[in-house]
Amino acid sequence: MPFRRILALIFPLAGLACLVIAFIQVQQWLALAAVILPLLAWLFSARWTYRGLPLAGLLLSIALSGLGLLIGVAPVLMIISAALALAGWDLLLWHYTLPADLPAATLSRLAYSHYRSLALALALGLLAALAGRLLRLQLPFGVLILLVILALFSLERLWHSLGH
Amino acid sequence: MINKLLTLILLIFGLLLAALITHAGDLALMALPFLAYLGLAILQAPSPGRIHLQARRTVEQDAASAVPTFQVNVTVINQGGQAVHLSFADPLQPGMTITSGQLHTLADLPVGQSAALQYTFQAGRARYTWNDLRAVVSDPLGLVETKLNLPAAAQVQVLPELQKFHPFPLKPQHTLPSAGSIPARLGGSGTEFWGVREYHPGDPLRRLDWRRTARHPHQFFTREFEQEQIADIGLVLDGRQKINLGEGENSLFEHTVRAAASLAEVFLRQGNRVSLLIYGRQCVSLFPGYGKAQLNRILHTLSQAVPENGESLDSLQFIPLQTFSSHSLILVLSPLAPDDWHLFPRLRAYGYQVLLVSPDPVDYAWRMLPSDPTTRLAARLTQVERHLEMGKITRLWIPVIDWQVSQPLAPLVRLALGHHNNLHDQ
Repeated sequence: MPFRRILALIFPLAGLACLVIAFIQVQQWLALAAVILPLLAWLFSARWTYRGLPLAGLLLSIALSGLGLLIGVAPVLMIISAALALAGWDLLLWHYTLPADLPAATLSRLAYSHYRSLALALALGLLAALAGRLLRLQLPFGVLILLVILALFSLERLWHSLGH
Repeated sequence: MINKLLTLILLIFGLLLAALITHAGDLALMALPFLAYLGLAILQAPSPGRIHLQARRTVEQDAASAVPTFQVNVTVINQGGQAVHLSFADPLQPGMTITSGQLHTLADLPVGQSAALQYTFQAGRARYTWNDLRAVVSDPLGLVETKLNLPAAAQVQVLPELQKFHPFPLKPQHTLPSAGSIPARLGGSGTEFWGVREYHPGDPLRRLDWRRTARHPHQFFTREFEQEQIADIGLVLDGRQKINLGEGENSLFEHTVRAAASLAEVFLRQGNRVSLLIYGRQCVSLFPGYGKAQLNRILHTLSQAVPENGESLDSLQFIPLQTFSSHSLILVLSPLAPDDWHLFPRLRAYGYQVLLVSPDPVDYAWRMLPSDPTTRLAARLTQVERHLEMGKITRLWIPVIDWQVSQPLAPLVRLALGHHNNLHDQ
């Protein structure tokens, strides 16, 4: 199995480990047993190239993380688990798109830029989430409006990009 | 990657919606890594106005290979103001078999750098055309894409395989008044002695028959030689899918195309005038012509011939005969469907000399079918039916070549044309 595929598997498995630890802590054995489902999805997606499998793994992992949050397990572990599932999903899909005989130099350049972007996105996202948990801000109404405008602007930009 | 983007957006909205419904703020926080992922992808996506890529394509034939083999090189140069994450691909065209390389590649292109796509393919008889290169520029995470068609045109034509036949001894009823190689049964200038006639003023002195002149005082005689002229030959290729068997390079139609190409080549090499009609979903005709230019035209037309069904041209009897000049020799290359024989009385009625080359579909299919008693019986029955159909054509004094495509064609054509010539001599 190529290193990229192993790497793509390490992230979601680490995420599932977070789920397992959290569910053991609160002794939710049924939820713990349910971890088998995303585990199988991730393992199969590492073995076979089928785009539906990583998506299934991602959805199941997020569903279990959400369930964990609702039943009151450690939220940080759940957020980290979802973020790692996202990384696994991204890496597996990226691995699927790579042609078989790509030159090593091209591949390393592509891998570098992809890993860098992914790491940056995950780091920013996790930092923001952790900051959100640590800091309880009372935002004035005007700032909220500005944030909504920013979100709308981002969506418009996204739509514009899709149009092209 | 639209699906990837859509999945991500749905996940983010799903998490936020779940957070709103359950009043669980941590669910909203869980969406933040996904939002950061999406936001970074949007930020890193190159702006379409600043993308400036140029593509160049070269196609080279591998002359050493027995099978037509081509190497395609596509180079994309980033002439824009920013680095791009690029994937580009060529479509797989019908008839292409990729032997090395791939039709799709990825590249991370800094400004001024280039990336290449290389592949080699073996090609069957066809025309291969590339107009542009399909490229997709995206962010490194592959979420926000810009699709581009970069002009990179090229064209390759693989002509049908030719067999070099030895010249056939043709003796058509009618010839064209141009110097050629076919005895025209007319006195004039040639190489074979034809007869002696009275001297006409203007006859060259070297043609005077001095012995006869000596026997007849006060009279002069001139020797005549048989004129050698050219024939007018029309080739009809049956391109109907309904009578084609097999697929690819070994289909019955491919054998017929190769036969048509080889016959056109030998007839044109002999100096004759040759025209072509491909009868399929529509009629493709080439007007009569001579020489290498006409051979090129015929081979190019044949290279694009594909068997197709057309409801309006279902039977051979609708062949537009005005394509061929009157009294020409017409070679019909067709496996023949039931009721196709109606064409042949019509051809004879118009005064054409006809030769039918019929690739044997029963023999062809027999080789691919299991050899059980039922198949054997079916093959025999079909063969009997086919012979009855061909018998109707033979009774019109039309030579018929029942060609089993595994056999060489040239001796059969030579035999049939010899028989044809004998009939006319009688």
